[in-house]
Amino acid sequence: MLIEALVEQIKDHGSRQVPLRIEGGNSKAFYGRDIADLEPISTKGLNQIISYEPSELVIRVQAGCSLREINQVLLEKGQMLGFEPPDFGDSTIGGAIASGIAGSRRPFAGAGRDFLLGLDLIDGQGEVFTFGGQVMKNVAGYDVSRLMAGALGCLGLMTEVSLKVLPRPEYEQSAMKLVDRSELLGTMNELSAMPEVSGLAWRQNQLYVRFSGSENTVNNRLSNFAGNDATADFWRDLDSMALFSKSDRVWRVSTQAMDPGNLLEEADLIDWAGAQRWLVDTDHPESKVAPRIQTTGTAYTTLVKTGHNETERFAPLASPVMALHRKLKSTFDPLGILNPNKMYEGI
Amino acid sequence: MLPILLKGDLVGFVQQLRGVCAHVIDDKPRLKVYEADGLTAKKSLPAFVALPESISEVQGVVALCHREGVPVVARGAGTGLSGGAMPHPEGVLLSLAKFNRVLEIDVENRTARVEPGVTNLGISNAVRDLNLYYAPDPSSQIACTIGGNIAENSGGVHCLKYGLTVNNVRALKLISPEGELYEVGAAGFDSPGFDLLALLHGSEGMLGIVVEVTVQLLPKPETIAVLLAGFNTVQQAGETVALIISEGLLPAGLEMMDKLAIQAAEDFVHAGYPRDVAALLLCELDGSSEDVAAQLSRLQRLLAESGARDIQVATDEATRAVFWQGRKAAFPAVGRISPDYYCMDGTIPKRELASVLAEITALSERYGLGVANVFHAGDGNLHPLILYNANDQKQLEDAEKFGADILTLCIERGGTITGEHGVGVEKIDQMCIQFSPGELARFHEIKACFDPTGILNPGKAVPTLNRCAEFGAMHVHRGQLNHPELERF
Repeated sequence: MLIEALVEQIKDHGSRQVPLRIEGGNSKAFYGRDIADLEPISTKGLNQIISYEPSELVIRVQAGCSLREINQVLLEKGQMLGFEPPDFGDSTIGGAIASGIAGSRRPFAGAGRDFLLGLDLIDGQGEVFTFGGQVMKNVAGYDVSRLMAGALGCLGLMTEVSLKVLPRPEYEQSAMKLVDRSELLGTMNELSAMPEVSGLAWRQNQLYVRFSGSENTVNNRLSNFAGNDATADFWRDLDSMALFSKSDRVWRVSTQAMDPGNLLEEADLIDWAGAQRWLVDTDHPESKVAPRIQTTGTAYTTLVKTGHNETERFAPLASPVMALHRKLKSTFDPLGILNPNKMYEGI
Repeated sequence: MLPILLKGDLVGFVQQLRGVCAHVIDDKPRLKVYEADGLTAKKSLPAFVALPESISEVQGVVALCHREGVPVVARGAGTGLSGGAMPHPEGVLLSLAKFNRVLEIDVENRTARVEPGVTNLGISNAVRDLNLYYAPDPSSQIACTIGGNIAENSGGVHCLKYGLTVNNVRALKLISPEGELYEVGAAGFDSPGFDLLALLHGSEGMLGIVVEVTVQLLPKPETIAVLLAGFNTVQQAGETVALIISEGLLPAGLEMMDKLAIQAAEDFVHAGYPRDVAALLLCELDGSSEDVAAQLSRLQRLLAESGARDIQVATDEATRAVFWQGRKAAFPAVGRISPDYYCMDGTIPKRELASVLAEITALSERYGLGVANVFHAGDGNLHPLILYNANDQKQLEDAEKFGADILTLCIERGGTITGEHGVGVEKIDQMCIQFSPGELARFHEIKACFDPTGILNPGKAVPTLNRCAEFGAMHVHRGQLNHPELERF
């Protein structure tokens, strides 16, 4: 039994004080602080779809299932993962949830944490837990499942997850048109109020919009938008960062959609209806505005990937919040065996 | 264990309390107002009630209690149904009632910053003229506060499409048990670090005191349609729910009632429901006019295929309100036909609906007690109402056993003991059935991360490992719910 083997591996490493790096498809090693030197513990063998009934809008899968397979299984029943997790090539659902990286549908549908209903978890001492459930409403006990979404594996190794899924829109079509940066936010704000909009991004003076709904409605929206057709591939490439070259250093700023500051003027790409701004720097940090990892007001900068030797990736936390992080880490992983230092020093 | 305030210390403590908070209640008649929340069967007089008006007053009260080892129980409007805000007899009940201001409405970003004592409906009312609203809508929304909604992670009839409180709140300002102010979440869509925002939702006042909330708002849908359909069997209605979902429709609301509930509601409010059906579905669709029209025709085709009868559609606000009225008045309606009822709040996978309802009917016969069922069918949240007479000791005991059997059944079928009312003091014993000792121990450890001395709402939500015996649930005597004016469930 693979889960028992994983438990044994974690316990063994705990007894020897040798930390582990949790690995699914190993497609997001670039994300977070560098822990590539650690010995891997792999979830790849956990590749079963446990249960899926379309009428429940719930799928339960093992953490090592590939996004490709899950997407295919859902597609056959006319459903999808609402948070559109990007596939960086062999990405697994465990990695998608643990990284907390959501795709372009995020502002309109939610992130992984919004669709996570429950999970099985092995903590840093090899103890196995089940939290949450397979039903959409469940308020018994603290919501430990959602705590794991975006926790980068620092609190435990997920073995199984239950996710709410969504029906695929009856019809979907994307379009683009030229919009100047100075008019961008106003245009985005108008569009994002429409219930049919499910993607809204801007790059190289082109505004990209995706409409979802009944065929009639989508066609009417498209004709009002009066742009050119765009392919669905745009969103896939945007989400999986294929629009950036491999050597790029990439920052993202998460802020309020209509924030007039925070890289609005400099961003190479603006997604999430204005709320996610990307900055790319191919060469020297000095050649462009190189935002340090920081928190400014309500905006947070993340160094998403870099080829340079840069340690910190995430904006620093206020001290009471960091104190809670340390306590939670020592509750779930007192020996610091699982993905230590992946998020912050000591976490 | 917290130290207990000794009688001799009380005078000194209340003086200190008055020193940090202008509004303190310590006389019995006024304390009595706070002795229970919506779960009136569980009562306890608090030692003091503090009604702070500012964040610094909250900090003062909490820090004082922390120093003196005095329990603090936060309370919003006191409409909760699981006793989460039941006072501690040796503690301070911290009412956030004076935190009732909408601080900022950000129209462009579609967010609002509000104080925790603002009512759920108050948020939507404040932004109504801006064509925005706050989506989660627990039935008690006219009175329940957003702070309480966060404590319970409240749902409502629209959560299938729009999510629970946790899916609609961006950021919180909190006071730690030591009195320190901190923030989680962000005004944007995400923030670095662990998702403490999610962990705090549904934590029943055990981890921190919320003093400010940033909610996300949605543009009001252009069109809303409500469809009503009757079925000859519960099985048929359950299968239709599954069909609607698997055919790709995502209704804003999808509710079901059984025969007894339909008849009680119809007798009470005359909503025009068919009386001779075994089950009734109410389905709400929203969106742009064209899209709602397209969804509606798909829905009508599916209903025709699944043998629905007495189909009625409402698109104007007045008729929609009438359709919903029967559903929303189902609880008081049941209160008219039985001296007492006992409300359960389990959730099950939807596929189990027909068989669980059949088992509930069998249990009803076995115990000789009637049961009416109303059901958030879209998300599997059941509210069976067990009819009994509390003056008959045997009936009371049987009702409790019946309820326990239903909750156990929900767990056995892959569901949960509470979908939206919370654990509080009411379902604390059922937590022992749903979770293993290791999982319960981990809950206590999480509590200790936030509240090492355990002053916040002690004894609620998570049972200690050595108490898993007693059983309790919501008792409603002669239909007398606290706040009977509120729509429920």
